[in-house]
Amino acid sequence: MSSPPSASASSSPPPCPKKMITLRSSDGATFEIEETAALQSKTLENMIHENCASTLIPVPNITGEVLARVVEFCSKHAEAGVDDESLGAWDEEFVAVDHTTLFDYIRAANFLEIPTLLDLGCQTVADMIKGKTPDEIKKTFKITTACTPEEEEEVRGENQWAFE
Amino acid sequence: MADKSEKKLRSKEDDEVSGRDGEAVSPELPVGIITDILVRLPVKTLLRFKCVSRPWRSLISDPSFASSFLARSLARQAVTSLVSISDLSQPGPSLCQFFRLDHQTGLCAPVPLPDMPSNTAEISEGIHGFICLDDGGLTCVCNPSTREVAALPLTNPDFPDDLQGEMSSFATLGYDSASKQYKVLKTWILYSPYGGVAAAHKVLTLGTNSWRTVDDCPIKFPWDDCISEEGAIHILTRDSMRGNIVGTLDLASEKFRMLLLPEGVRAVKVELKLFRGHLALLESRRLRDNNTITLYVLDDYRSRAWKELRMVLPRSWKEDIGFPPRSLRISIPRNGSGDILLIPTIIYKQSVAYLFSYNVESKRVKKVQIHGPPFHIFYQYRTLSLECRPFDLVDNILSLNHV
Repeated sequence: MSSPPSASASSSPPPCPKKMITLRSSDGATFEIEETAALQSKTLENMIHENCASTLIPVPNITGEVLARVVEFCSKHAEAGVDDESLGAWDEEFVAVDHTTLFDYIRAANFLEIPTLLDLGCQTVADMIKGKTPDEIKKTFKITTACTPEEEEEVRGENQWAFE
Repeated sequence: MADKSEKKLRSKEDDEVSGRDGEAVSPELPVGIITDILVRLPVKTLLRFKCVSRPWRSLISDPSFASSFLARSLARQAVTSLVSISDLSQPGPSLCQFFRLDHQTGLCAPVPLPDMPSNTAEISEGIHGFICLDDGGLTCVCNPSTREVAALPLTNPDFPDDLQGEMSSFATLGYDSASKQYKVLKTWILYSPYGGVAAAHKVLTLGTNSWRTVDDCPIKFPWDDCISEEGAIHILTRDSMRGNIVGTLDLASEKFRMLLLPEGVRAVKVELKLFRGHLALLESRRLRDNNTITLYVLDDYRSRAWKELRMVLPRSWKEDIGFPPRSLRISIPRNGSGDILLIPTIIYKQSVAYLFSYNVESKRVKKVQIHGPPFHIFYQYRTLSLECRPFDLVDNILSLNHV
């Protein structure tokens, strides 16, 4: 649910409703987002309040492809009159992507400080990796360092039951 | 969550944050995010993932990770309890096993714990999921989540040599939120044949080797009940002049205070509970006959103001259950839904056992059949009944070796 613009804590004059912000991705693509939706991102919220005049915000860390989806997420979550169940279903579809894309969303949510997207992303990854073997985890997270056989023996010995 | 303090734009290099050894936890995501993902996983999975790499093992074994993990567990609503089931009818050491009891389905799933060093130990519910076992000589702490059992350093009450008699001991675990340490309180009560009673009390900080004597303790008789909350341990006992009293050990100062109970409960059997975060006395003599449970809730510790809360269950609660339960344990899970659980103390062979949940607001009782494997291992030809005790179940990944 979106909060009316005048509800945000700020000393600058309240932003006009339906004001559009333009975001520019690392590869130069631009995306329009309603200010109310942009406020989902704490990073963007701060930038908006620091500099009300400028409406073009560069986001050099995020590619156009990912930024488009993040804008979609924020807009959806700022929409009025959406019940929890449909929003939940929408979220589920949003994260029904491969883990590489999921990591992109998480990195974007981390960078832009979007708590809802970050929480959704992390929970989805947690559910995804729960049943994986350590080797599969290494692949998913691109981990090249490994435990020595002795270290692995030690871990198995400490909590044998977890490996049964 | 990750990196909230950094409001500036981050460059790509900062995305790869190192684990403790300088090796990256993952080149894909910062360590704060990996932590945010891992705290959502079950203990068993996390213990396996210690094998992934050295930084992962470091991260998962870190006490601050255990802290974040515990905070999430405590914030979640409890839908299961840990239950100990013992066969007391057998002579000699009793077989005691643990189960997870689901409040909604009644399903009991075994939680295999390592053999306790002693089969005659008294179990007390500690805090944060830890339980404490004491058999007079040896005291142990157990974390059912990690299935670890740790024996505590041995100690004696240091009674004068000329004092002889029958001795009993009691122990439980508490959490000192000030120093973020776990502490164990142990009490010895000695009955001399000439009629005198002596008491001794010691405290041990978990992870250290030496017990400290606690003086000026109002507890002079055996513990009737105990309960731990953050920062304090409360012991219910009797006083020769005042009847039932509660001795509260403040874990930061390691000093005792005495709490007098409301008139109405100084001479009746009560149990210690935590009700919505407050210390409470549960009085349930009239449950079977009058369907009444009374809670005396300590609203304000300083002013010693107790509030009486009487709950009358609908009469139907004990209908159509065949063999009416002779005695029930009342459990108020700390992070539960607010429902009060009634769990049969004795489970009879060849009869159905039920778990009742009483909702304080709606005043309704739900019942669900307790079932699941492997009760049959208890029912050897001689066994007629099993004793059942509930404990708060909190997922806690803190290893007793890293306390």
